[in-house]
Amino acid sequence: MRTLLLTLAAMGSIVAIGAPIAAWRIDDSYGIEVQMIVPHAPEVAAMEQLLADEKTPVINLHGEALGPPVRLVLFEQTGLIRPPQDPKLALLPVDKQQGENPLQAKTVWFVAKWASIGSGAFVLLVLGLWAAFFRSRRAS
Amino acid sequence: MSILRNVILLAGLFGFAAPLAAQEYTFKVDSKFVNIAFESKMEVEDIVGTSRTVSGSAKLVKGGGSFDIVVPVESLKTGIDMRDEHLRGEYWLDAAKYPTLRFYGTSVKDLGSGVYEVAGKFVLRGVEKALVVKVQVATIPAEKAASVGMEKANWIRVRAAFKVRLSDFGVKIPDMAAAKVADEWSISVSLFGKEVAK
Repeated sequence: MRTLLLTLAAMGSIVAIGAPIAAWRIDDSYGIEVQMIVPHAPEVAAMEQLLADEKTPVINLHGEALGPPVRLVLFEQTGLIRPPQDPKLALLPVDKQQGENPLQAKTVWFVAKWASIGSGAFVLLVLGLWAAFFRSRRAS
Repeated sequence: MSILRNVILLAGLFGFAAPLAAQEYTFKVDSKFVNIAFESKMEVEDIVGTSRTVSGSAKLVKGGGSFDIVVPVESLKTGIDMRDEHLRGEYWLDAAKYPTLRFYGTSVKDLGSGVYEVAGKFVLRGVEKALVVKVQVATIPAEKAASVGMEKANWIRVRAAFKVRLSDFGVKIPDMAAAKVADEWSISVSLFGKEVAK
């Protein structure tokens, strides 16, 4: 029983500590700040070029912004557009109508946070059980 | 003739055409060239979605106009089918009972430089709320439209961004979803309307 509880506590501790580390590694290695866009129809893209003036945001030449910029991880980067007018921008065409939903870094962090909290609580519970078990054995 | 027509169109749209007060232009939304994006920022994820199915029209007269834009709830997609089903469900937008979102009104005020203030009613889940939105309108003469492969007709391009609160329309976010879905949604609209005969 003691070995089982300590094993469970050790596993829980690994998840509690490992989840944020894994999230950090994923974010650090694969995270890119991108602006998701809905790409224009070809006619619209050509029209936007004609209508553009110096105030026209570069994004609008390529598509319509899909929310503000967001940090994505583990996504197919071959579709990234670096507009020549502003190479610092990373535009990612995303077709929500076709079910595309790239993974966001904040989702990874959210999952890691709750995995860590959940595992931490589990470890405390297991250690509590172990302490109770140890005390009852000593009493007997 | 087409040059004269474009001059009249532009003058009418920008409110400089006093002698042309009776001129009225009707534009019908072309759903091929529509993008509606919506966004809900939350801790777990920024939910973003789109619709590319919009119908409606706008009438423009000197110094004013009216509009009526309709979006089927079924056309709203967030990239996850199960989430879309929830969005259409009875606790959210209740698509079975209220199949469309609508924005309509009869107040169009010219603010200059192609910016208009439109005021009307936004209808979501059968609840109507007053909404005032600034829209950017660009006029596109027929020749220009034809040069990029669009139908040879006068067009307008309309861009707008605004926010709505789901709670204003009777949507009560369940506690379970409170971390995932914000009450306030940002909506941006880009559409092209083609001039049609009255």
